[in-house]
Amino acid sequence: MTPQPDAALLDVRDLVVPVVGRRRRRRARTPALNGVSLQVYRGETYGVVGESGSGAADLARAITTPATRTAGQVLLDGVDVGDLDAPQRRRRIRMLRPGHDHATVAGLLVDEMRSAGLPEPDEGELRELVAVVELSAGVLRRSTQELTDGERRRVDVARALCTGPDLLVADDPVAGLDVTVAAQLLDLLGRVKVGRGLTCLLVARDLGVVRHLSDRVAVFYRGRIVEESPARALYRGPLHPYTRALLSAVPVPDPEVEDRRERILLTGDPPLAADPAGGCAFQPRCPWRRPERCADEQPLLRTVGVAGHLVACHYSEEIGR
Amino acid sequence: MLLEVRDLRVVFRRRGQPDTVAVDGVSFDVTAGQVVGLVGESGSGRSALAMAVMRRLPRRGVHVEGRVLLDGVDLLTLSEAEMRERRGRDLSMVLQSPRSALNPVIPLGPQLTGALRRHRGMAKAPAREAAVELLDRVGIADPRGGLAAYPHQLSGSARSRALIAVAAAGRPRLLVADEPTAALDVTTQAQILTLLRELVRETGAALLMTTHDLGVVAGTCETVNVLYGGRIVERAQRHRLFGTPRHPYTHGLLGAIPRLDGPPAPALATISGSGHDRLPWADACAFAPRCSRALPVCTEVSPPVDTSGGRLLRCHNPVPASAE
Repeated sequence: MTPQPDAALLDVRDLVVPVVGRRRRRRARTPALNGVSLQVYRGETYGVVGESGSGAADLARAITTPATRTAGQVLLDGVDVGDLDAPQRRRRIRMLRPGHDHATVAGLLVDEMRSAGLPEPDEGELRELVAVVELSAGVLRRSTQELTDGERRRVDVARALCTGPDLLVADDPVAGLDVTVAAQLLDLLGRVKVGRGLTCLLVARDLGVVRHLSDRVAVFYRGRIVEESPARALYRGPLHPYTRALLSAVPVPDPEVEDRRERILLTGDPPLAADPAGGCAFQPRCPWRRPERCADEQPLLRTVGVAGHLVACHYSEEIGR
Repeated sequence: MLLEVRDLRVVFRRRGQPDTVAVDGVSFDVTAGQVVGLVGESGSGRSALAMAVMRRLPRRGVHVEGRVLLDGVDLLTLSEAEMRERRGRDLSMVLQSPRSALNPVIPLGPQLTGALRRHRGMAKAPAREAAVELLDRVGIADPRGGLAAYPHQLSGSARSRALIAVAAAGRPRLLVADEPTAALDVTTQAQILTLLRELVRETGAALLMTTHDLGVVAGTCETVNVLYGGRIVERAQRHRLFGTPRHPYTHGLLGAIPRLDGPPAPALATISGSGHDRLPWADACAFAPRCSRALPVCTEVSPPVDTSGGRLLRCHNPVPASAE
């Protein structure tokens, strides 16, 4: 999918989201998202990668729940999602996440459509929906508790699709799943998004999962995008030191590769790093850190190499070699 | 031989419900200093197996039979007091969640020195020094200050490393790690795996590690056991297992992982269903309902064990060795 600059479906501008909950006291000065801008074009899948504390999950939440942000804009087709009324927002932006409701599958789907302000679906529509996620019509009358893990996740996909959304936001869809069940779900998502021409924002901790489905990928670190790139270019030649460390940390199921690999081991971990005063957020852990600029000057996203490959690092050209 | 597990069976019994066979006759060996992996999905019995080796399963409602020989002594026949004596000194465990495995109301120091004094008979002051050394070894930034820290004051990664320090404190000859990196970030996972590998190399302890992730196993374990439905379906040295997986389940598991090396695969799902779809081993192959290579015989006869060519294989219709 080649992005068309005029067709940004989702346009996030300088989004700031504060940290919620218990973490607030400890890190009140560092927001969960600290001025994030990104565009998701119609029909593409935009992958967001980040470890805990990166803000990737907060991005997913801020898009579906505008009340969480304190600054910035989230535009869907040029209209701020905060200005859409709730049913309309629920219809056009859908979140894919594991549901734990105890109800029949048909009941769940009807509820979802009603809360999005749609007319009650008839039996035919429901059958069609479960057929899309490759389940038999018999599943409609069954309770979610009777279903297997894999079936339940397919029902989650059906719940996300039932309103005919413009944008699908998937927050770590395969977290905690067995490898074989996760593979089935990823294949299904791939087929569904191509079949329906869906635009997706996919948040995941697993770089392999993101690579499998995404056209473009953004890597988050401490509330900022540190690298954004077409998926191909990112996995072939990561430019930011953090992306390189992240890629090198993912285990590959091949002993030949594992034995030869060079690991970039990071020390410490993001949430406890000292608040950098204006400098690069990754600098305290960066193996390529230099005394000159890293500690005092915040690196901005800039194009390096191919068009559309953005990186926020002062020295990425030198590191790349 | 350090650890010999023979025909281990773990059966969960609940009143009014049929028995659940979690581990169904598993035998394997761990030699001193070796790293052995147990790989399986949920329902494969890997955690029950690790818990049975540690004798950490509750007595009520669980029936364990077979033999777990550590240096020739059957752990299953020991009294609870004798077992308590061995835990931490001869064998110790790294649990899945460091949040619950460390005592939340005791600082790290006493948890470490307690283990050191008990298992290595150290006096108070040397135990304290040894504890600082241990924390430093596992990479806690300020080891002396770390002694006074409560588990909740540490970050996730530091907590995992502290847990490993506690487990290694008694210099056990066998470490049992049950999903040591589940729910950790990838960069943290890499740190923990590296630490475990180094510890094994330095202390000469053996490591028995369970995981659901073949990627974790590939770089860490010398011998890999693949579990399905409570039995080992394939076992081989890691280069052989990953190079030519023969069991259709192993083959499918490898194909199901979205990989970062090489071009992206067009499709991942090569195995349908989930780990809970299985037949009883007694007169079938448990994997048959999900297997793409299943023959009529697979649902009628339990597959025999083939141990030729340095590999254990339990399959009627294995993937040909040349197909890769």
